[in-house]
Amino acid sequence: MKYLFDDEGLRMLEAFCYSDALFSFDFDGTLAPIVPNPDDARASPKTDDYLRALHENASIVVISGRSRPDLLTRLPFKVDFAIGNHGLEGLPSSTGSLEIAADMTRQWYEKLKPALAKTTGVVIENKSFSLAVHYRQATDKRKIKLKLLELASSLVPAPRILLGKYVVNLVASGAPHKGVALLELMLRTGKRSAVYVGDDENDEDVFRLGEESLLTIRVGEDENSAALYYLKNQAEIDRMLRHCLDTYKKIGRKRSL
Amino acid sequence: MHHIELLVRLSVELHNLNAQAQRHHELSLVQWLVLRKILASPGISASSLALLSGIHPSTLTPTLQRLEGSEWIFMLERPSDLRQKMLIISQKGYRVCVKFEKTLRGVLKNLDVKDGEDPIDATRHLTVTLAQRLQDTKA
Repeated sequence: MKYLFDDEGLRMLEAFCYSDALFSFDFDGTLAPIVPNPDDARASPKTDDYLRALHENASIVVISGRSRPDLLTRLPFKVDFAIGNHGLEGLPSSTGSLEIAADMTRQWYEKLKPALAKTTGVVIENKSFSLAVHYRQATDKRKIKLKLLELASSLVPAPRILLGKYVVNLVASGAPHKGVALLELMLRTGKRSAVYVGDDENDEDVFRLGEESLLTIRVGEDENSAALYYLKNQAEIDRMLRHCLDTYKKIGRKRSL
Repeated sequence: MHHIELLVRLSVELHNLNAQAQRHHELSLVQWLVLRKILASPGISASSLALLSGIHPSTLTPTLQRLEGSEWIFMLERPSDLRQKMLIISQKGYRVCVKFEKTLRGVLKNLDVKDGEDPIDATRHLTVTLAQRLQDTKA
């Protein structure tokens, strides 16, 4: 894993701009900083402006763990594709998977709600096609995380467990994940290359694809991540977007989609 | 035998076309093809590029070295596997590629290919015309 703003990383980023790549981002922790209450998460006005300007040059996709309707309220303009529920919701091919995921989610919610009713600091977010169990407000986070993992492991049908920053996500196993979503969107938009920026465990589904023409960038250095490059922190997303805009300006090209 | 003779002559004309392109427009057609594939697929490995372009690795290696020497491409180590090289185009390479494609588009305009002509002979005529036009439109 290398730092994106070293010479090599910048050359890579510029080459992807020249290639008319698809730009794809996770939302929380990537476009928007992590905040104590997930409902308050917003990208900064500066990030919104850079993203809007980038959209004049490139196709943009946001793939988030949030439900799609929730994600749409947080985006400053209509991006080319907004995908929710970790790659499942909003993907043109996933209609069948949605019904199965909704049924599984309902069963998990009915079991978890009473089991966690008296646990303070834990909030179950029902996103219709997946569950997010937040424990950021819990006092003993380690103990609560273990309890949540035990509960999640006992669920039938067994969910795919994705760990995030103080959140345990329960997703239908076998459903399209972020990596599948990105590959499908590349095919649909006719793009042969893509940039993906994410910060979390579930973004590893994209990082691990290992496609040659996929520039993977993680927010925060992590030697266990499969991402090729990293940003030191979320605030550096603005620098990255600005560098892309400068590159497009230098070559004087507008988007082709 | 007539077709074989035409094929050999076509091969010679293609060679001339390549030489005209390199002499007058900085890039040979093979170099342009390689540059174009690297532009479209940043981060591609040399082995994938060989498959994608149909160029034999023994021809591709010196071509890549020449492109790197001209600073039109960079060969970077893949962070996840330092034994692998990722090929990317530079800004200089991007500009050369775009300029050359503009020339090619101009050269290809209003080409006169006669219906019913022998396909190999037609291709040979096309190659000769292209070489002539590339010479006429020196950079």
